[in-house]
Amino acid sequence: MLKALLKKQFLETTAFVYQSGKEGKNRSVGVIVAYVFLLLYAVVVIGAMFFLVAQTLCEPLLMSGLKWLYFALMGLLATLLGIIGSAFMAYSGLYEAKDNELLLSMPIPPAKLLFVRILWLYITCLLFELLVLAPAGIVYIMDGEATIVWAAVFVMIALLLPFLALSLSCILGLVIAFFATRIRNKSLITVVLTLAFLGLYFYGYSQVGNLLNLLLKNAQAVADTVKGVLYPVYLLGMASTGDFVALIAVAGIVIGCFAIMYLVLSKSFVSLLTKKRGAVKKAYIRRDMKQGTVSGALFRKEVKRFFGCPVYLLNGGLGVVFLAVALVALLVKWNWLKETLGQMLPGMEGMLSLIVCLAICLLTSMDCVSAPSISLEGKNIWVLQSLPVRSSDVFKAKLKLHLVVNAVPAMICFAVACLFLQQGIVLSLLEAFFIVGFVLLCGLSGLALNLLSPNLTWTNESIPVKQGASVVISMFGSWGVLIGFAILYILLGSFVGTVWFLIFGLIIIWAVNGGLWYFLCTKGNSIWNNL
Amino acid sequence: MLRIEHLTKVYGQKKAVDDLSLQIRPGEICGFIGHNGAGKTTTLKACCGILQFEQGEIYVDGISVKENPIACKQNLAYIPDNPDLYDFMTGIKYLNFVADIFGVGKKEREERIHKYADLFELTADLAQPVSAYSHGMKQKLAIISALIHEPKLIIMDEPFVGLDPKASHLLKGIMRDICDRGGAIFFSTHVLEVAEKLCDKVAIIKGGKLRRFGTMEEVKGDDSLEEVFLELEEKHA
Repeated sequence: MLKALLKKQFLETTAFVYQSGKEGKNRSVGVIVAYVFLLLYAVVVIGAMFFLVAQTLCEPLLMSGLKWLYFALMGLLATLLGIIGSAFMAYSGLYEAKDNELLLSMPIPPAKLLFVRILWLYITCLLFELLVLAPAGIVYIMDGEATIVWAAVFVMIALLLPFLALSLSCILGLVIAFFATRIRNKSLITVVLTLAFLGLYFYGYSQVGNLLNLLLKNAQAVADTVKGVLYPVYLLGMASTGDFVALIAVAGIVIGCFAIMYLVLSKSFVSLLTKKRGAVKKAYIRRDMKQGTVSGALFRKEVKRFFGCPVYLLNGGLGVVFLAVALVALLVKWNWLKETLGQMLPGMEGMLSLIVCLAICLLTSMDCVSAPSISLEGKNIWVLQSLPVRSSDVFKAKLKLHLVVNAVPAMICFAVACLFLQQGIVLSLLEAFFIVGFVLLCGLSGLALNLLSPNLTWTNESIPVKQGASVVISMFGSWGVLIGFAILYILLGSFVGTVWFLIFGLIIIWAVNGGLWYFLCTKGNSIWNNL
Repeated sequence: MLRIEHLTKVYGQKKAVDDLSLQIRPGEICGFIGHNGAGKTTTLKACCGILQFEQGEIYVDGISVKENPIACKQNLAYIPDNPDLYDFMTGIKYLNFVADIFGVGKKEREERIHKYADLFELTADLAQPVSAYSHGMKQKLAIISALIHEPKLIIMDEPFVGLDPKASHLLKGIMRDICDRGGAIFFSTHVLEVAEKLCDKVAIIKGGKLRRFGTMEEVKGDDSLEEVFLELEEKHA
């Protein structure tokens, strides 16, 4: 039984390698090999990143006689990565697994089920932690300090540490499960948390060099603080250097934490899986209803889908976040921006206005709102097809959302930029029309591409939103258009001038937009009817 | 109310529906029966303009589905076999969305939504997101949304699947009531007893071809509908 459960868990975890999430079919051998190489590549890249961190820390700390601090820091990093890597897996694999009810209906003791799930999480934590611990060990060996005894102890530490990350992941998973069933506006909270995580990640990534330098400069002070305030961390460091007493203490702490978590979980496992709390039920209150228009109803439907799906909101609205950052940068660091651009493009200060215009276009092109919108209809497509609405009305609603999400923030950003640029009204108007035309071009082309390559059989929204051909082609295509315009300006700008260049660009963009709309209303209509 | 003339729908090399013709008059309930994959859903979807077809014509209240699909859809309602509704909307928002599309006035929609939601005991759940609904609740919501604009023709694919006995009974009553007021209903079912009791007309399809069509008496004579159906299955096996 245990073997069968472990085999099922293995197949489930590795299914993404040999099975297409889009079609549910097995991948070809070539694609599987490519996937494995991609995974190995990711492992090497992440491992190399931590190798560099280990290399920066190891020698100076060893020379300062703070060998334990090196291992303590790498151990903490490993635990953090283990928690990040496995917390969501603990949530989805332990508390929200799709086959929980099926397995509980079979003659399988819940304890065995829990054991298999926990074992799998342990392996996951171990793999994540090895991404840090393996480079840390290699660097230590390279510095010539390693002995056989140390190696044996270090392997034991590597096997023990995941128990700590696992215990914390299970608690974190429980917290996620608790809130996931209770909170409203789940999408918005998911988006805010994801953005906060991304922000922290990028900030941390940009500051890692400074942090390491600061740490090395104040190594003794940091060591004293850790020894005084975080004694278990000191013990972890000491244990990794080969101190057996510390090793026993660390093993006791880690296994103790795990045992408590396992005991609590085994007592409540079945009730956790079977108790359906559900969100707080909102009472229906009879209110006066309003009659709306067809276009309004279709647009509201698109808005609800956009804000109701975190993946769609994140991928379709990331450019808006960047636009907001750009707006703040314009307000706070305009002079610095102007100088930096002047240094980067000497003698091309006259281009500044066009660079700002193209930069705003670039940021809007990151928002693929319309490109997955047909695919997102999925199994619901019968609703629109059976209702008395023209396909052009459906397309208009999708385009309107694309325009509202992109063009409005882009125009605000551009208006602020105009205040700083202090350029003529004609140039400002031409650039404004250029931005709106470009946003519309992205929207129309995304929609047309999605009509030509729809995927209505997805099982998860992230498949059309992140992996859809229309999204990828639309985004890279729009970047290609911008690069094309930039190259054309470099070649022709000095001859025709910025104003005439923009007029030329506007004619092209709006002509293509017209052509795309004509395609949607003719061929697109027939494709829509046959979806 | 519904006239299908020589309908043919081809998928690749296979004829899903082959030269099918039938007519349903105002006031009639027509049951559509056949084995799995016989072509029932394809025919129903073609009637409400969801599926394009190669040959033949379909008229809803005298209007061609091919030539004027929007006008046809304005007069009909469709309930699929698996009601995949918008999970991101609440029940009431979905009903208002459908009402807006059909241009149902404020007073009428309030009256109809509350009437049918009360009848199907769904009122208390109207503020819940559709994602929280059970299959039966989704089916009820799809039925209510189909009734909001008082369509002349209702096309239903297995409408009783997932409904509790009370809701099934209610739906049968509503179907009769609609037809008594001059409407028409064309629905598929595998429950032959229901078809026998409820329908004025019955159409039996096998392998995409219409094998029998007529009033219940004409089709079954002195036998039960089940006997006729099984006999046809064996005959055309």
